Amino acid sequence: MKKSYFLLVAFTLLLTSACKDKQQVYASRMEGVWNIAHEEIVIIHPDGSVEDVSETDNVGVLTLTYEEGDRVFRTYSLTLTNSTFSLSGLPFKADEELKRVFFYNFFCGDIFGCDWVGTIEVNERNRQQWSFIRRLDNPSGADSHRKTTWTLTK
Amino acid sequence: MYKLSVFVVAFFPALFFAQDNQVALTLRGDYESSQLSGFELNDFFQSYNEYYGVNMQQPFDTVAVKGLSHAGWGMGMRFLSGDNAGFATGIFLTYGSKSLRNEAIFANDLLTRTDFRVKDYNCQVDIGFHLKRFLLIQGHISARIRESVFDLGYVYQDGSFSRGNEYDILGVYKGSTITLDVGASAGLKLGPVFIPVGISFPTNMIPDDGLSTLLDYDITRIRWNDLPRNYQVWADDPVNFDPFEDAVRTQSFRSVRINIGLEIWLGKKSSEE
Repeated sequence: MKKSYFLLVAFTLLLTSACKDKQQVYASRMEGVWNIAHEEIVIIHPDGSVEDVSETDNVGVLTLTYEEGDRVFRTYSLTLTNSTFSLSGLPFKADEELKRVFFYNFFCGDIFGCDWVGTIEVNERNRQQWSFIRRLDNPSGADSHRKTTWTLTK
Repeated sequence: MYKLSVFVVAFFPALFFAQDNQVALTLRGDYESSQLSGFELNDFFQSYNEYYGVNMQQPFDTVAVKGLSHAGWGMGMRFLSGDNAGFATGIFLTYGSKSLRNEAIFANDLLTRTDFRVKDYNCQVDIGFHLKRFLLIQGHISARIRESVFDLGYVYQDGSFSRGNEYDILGVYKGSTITLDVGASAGLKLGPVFIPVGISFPTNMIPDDGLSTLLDYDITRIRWNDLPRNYQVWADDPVNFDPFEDAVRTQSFRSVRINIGLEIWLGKKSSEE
């Protein structure tokens, strides 16, 4: 009988520990300095062809810091090598399902302050890969899409 | 009802620790055949198909009525009093999940991919009687949480997959359906193995009045989209999009379910210890 109760308590503890919010775990894990080790930009045409725009290593540094009391948001600062472009003190987070990353008040090609939502392609402790797609208006009606892929390492 | 409550409070502990009683820890696996009570997700698929009509080379399929049936597992405690006939009760927790993928292809080979996942958490209390510790007949009440995630992305012509914000409909939509289900079950106990079969019906005892929808919610509101039931209104007339009329409501994921289980009982009669 005692054995049964012990098993029940152990199972309850196991269940409780498994319920920790993965969004918070991800936010904690992402804190620190990330090197944007590789950036690849391509344009995807409606016929399926892919036009290479650029492919660069070590394009910049993304720093994510914890702000007191914030559960899922982290503050991001972005500095790009070979560019005067930089953003600092802005909010960043992943969604609850860890499918997307959100950069708030970003720069989306021609708009400052736009929000940028990327798809998480690789989610590892020391390596992340995110892709961001933008629609390029085409007067002919067939839209092309600009895809930027970042590979980040810690 | 008051007298019954007094009886249970006063005599249940006594029954629990009496001789010839059996308290068992149970490990359970089961299969849930469930039938959706609403088809609002199919409204999304159908209205999407209708909206893009001739521009699609392959429309979405719809979800089958029993499309969310799944296997599950869990554990709990069961209690029997008496040898020939007596009181039977139990409480157990179960978990099960199901994923469904659906795809539609536009004429230009752009593919819309949806992944619909439900996770079902049940906490069920059985109360009834047993005969010879062989046949158990019980009624039950079950608190059930169904967490639904509807992941909608585009696969571009080169195979790139995106859930970004380049199109408004892309996103990860979530919602919970909480119900209090009632039902009954019968089961056969063969040694340490118990095989129950039960049926459960969702009640309206925890109503959300249709206010809970499948939602891609973001606290800063850069994403705050309801998954539309009526895609045409969502796309062409967003000002008149009424989330309570035109969005997929989580109450439509309530389901009547039949479960068949297999339990292993770990525990002996008190008199055998």
